[in-house]
Amino acid sequence: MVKKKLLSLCLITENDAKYLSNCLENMQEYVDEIIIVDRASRDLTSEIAQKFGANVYQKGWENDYSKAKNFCLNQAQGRWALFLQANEIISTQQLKELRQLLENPNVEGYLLYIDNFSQNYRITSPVQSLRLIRNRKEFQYKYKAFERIPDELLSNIKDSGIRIVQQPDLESSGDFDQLSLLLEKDLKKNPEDSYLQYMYGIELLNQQRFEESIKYLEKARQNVNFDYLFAPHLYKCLSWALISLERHENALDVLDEGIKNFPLYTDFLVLRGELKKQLKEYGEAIGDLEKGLKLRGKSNTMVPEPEINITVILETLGDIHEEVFNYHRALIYYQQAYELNKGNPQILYKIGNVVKKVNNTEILANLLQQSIEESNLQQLIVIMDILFQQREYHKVLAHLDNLESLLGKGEQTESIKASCYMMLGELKKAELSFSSILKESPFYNHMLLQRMEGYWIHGKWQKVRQVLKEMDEALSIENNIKALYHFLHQLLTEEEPQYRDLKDQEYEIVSTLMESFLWLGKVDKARLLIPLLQRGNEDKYINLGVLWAEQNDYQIIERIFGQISTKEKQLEFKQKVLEQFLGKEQIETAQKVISLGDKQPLGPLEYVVWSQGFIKKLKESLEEINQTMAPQTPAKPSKSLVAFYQFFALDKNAMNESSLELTTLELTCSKIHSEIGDFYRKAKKNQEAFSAFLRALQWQPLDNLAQEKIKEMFQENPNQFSKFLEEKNWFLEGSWFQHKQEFIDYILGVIDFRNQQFEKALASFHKIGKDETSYPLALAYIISSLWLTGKESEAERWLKEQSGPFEIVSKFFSICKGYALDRLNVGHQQFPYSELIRVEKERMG
Amino acid sequence: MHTMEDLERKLDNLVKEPENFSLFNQVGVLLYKVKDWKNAELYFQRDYELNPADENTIYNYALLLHQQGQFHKASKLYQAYLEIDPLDKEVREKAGDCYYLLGEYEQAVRMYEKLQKE
Repeated sequence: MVKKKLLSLCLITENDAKYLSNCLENMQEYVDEIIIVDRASRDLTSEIAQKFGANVYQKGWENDYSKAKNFCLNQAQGRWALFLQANEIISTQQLKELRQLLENPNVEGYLLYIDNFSQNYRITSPVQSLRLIRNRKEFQYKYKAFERIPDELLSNIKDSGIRIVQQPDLESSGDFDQLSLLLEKDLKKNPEDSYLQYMYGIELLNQQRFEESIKYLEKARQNVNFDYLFAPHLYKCLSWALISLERHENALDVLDEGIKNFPLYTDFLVLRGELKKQLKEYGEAIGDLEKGLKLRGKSNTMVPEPEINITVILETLGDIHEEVFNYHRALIYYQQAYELNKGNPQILYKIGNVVKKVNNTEILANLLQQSIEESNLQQLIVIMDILFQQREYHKVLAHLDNLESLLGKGEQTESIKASCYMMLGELKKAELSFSSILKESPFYNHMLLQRMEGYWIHGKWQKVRQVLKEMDEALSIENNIKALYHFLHQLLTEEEPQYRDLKDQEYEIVSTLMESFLWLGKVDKARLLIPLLQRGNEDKYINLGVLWAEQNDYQIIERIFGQISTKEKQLEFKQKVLEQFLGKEQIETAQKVISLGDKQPLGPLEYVVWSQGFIKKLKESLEEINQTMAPQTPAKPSKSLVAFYQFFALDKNAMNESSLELTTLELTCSKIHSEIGDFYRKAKKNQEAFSAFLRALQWQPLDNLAQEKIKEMFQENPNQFSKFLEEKNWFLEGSWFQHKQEFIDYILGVIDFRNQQFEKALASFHKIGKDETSYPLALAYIISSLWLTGKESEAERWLKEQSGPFEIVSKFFSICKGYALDRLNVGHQQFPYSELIRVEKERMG
Repeated sequence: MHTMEDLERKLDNLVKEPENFSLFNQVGVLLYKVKDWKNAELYFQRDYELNPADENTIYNYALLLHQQGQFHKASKLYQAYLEIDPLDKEVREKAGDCYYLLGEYEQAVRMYEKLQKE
């Protein structure tokens, strides 16, 4: 008995002599036979194939790929058939894995990834990835081009995880035209075929004919069966075409439908996240991307697998967090992305940028050390470049030996050395390094200009004139650059030149020069360059604004802002500049920036600026009053109350997942009642819950959380709780309130105060008489209400009139701080992703 | 509408049988349903006076008082109920809550302790 062959390698060839040996050499050990259907090659394709023992069939080309492939399948004797092109190979390791896949009795076909390193990226369908199939009679290809075994015949298709490496075939560009023609013919014959509509849509998409592409993809979408292998990819292509035409609403509809029908195809979430990012809906963008990330992290059973890899998701998340000033989160995502894709220097630059913002030098130091230990030249160069850009010249010089050991000592390292010394003002050392760079060197011109900049920033005007002459003699420096340097020299030597517009390259030169002046603290010289930079592209104004925000120069900020023409750019400018001012605690300037131009929603920043301004003003008021705040010791609970609380805390069902059991040391009467209130509220025992929160306030009348709960419950059921309070069937605890009516007035005042109905609140607090024990509380609220309604001098007068009872000042501060925290909580609800608001809350809390 | 007719019929019957405690209870329940708490309380009270050892009577009356904020009276009735049916967890929990509302934490603990043991 002859053992049946397991795997047949199938190829359709035509003049493939150039690649075929490589392919067959790679494959022959791992396949049981090679079937080649040759389309009348005129080169040595056939001879090469025979040399490798292939069964070669000469077949006249009938402009039909399906016919050729079906012929191939009919000749193949293996239980499995693997289709490759002559310019494709698979790694040896993966070929071993491929053989193992053939043992799985439940699978009918496998998808293989195709890596093409051609510069002309083309979208391909996952249908073209179905290269490994069980050799069944009924598996027959359809269509002249982009051949496909109908999905109705296929079941149990799996993802192999195996990658085919495709050599870019420079001679094959004509093939695509031929394929398109064949596809058009098929489509003419079968105009309602969703697969052909989809493939034609992809071809149009590859030609960037988006409108026409959408027409075909949309038709395919209406005809497609969701079980088809290409269905999710069809949705993705359609959404992509719509995004390219900025038809965002339509794209979102397609993506929503895609997410609903193919929940594991995470590309939809990523695209929607990206789109939401563009629309500045950051919370939703983060939500989609994080969900996508989570799904990709699980073992994915989706076939075809999503194409957008985890690195891209991580990097996009980093980008969004950086955009909304969540630098710590951004850093985490960039680091994760870089770990997975160390070949991408862009991520490393992003890490460098964020590291500077959070002032965490350790990360770069570790990466630098790692590059040295692993002799990773590419990473070392990027990190040295980041350090150079961040003006860490001493660090660059300190690690130059390491760079030299990998790169070799030469003009490149000498030019770095010369630049560092020049910036550090060590001009002799800089000249020494510069002297080793020959005039013919590619580094010479660059260094010449660097020298000039170095002399400018260090005020060596004589030297500049000398270098200007050298520059004029250098033939390879473009005339516009020479003119720019002459112009800058005039400008910096306080002549009054005629200002001129700058091209991109020129703008970069001037901008870097200005930064250098600022870095050395020569603000006047830097200021001279501003009119020049204000004539550049508006897109660059943001960076310019950020640089001057670092100098806390509002006048320049105002000037730059005045030249920004679009509302969108004005908003972006304001946000970036504000963040800079906040980082430097320049709150008054930040407030001025907010009022520049039209009022615009500034997102989380608006809350943080408001909160910092509010607290600053509050503290200033208190400084004038010159009273210190007295700390208070909260009352400790009785044993029986603690025991009662523990029944709830131990009952896991009743416990809120986010609630933490209090430790014995943390227990106070107020906290216990507040927690009990939470348990009761969760159990929907509202009367008990309301009583518990009231009791928390009897012990700690300014407890912000208990106050908020009371306010919420009262809002949900005003009649029930008004009646409850008025009937006075509850009882009083603690020492703050002696009479039920004063407590009712206090609670009603607090509810109105928290609802910002200050007039009503004042009326309630005024009912509490001077002889009541809770009068200091009422008074603190009265003063706070006055202060918050802009009657600050009246409030301050009241405060000054209080002789001795420092507790009023402390209570006033606590009430106002609570008010600010509430407002930040509103901001947190609106922008739950914002690190800025979270940090501000922590700072205040 | 149905409840109101039912209520009228039961009130007519009550005129004929003024000592029928079950009727008082039924009227109290109907009044409770239409949220006439004050009158429901009166009928439950009368039912309790006529039939103080009945579990349903005590339960309904206690529940209404608890809901109406009369925690002291309600707690006494829950105690009375638990003497008849000490294993009723729901009433024990309600009694514990009632004691919490009264600030009688030791009693509340006792109720919950038993509940936990059970």
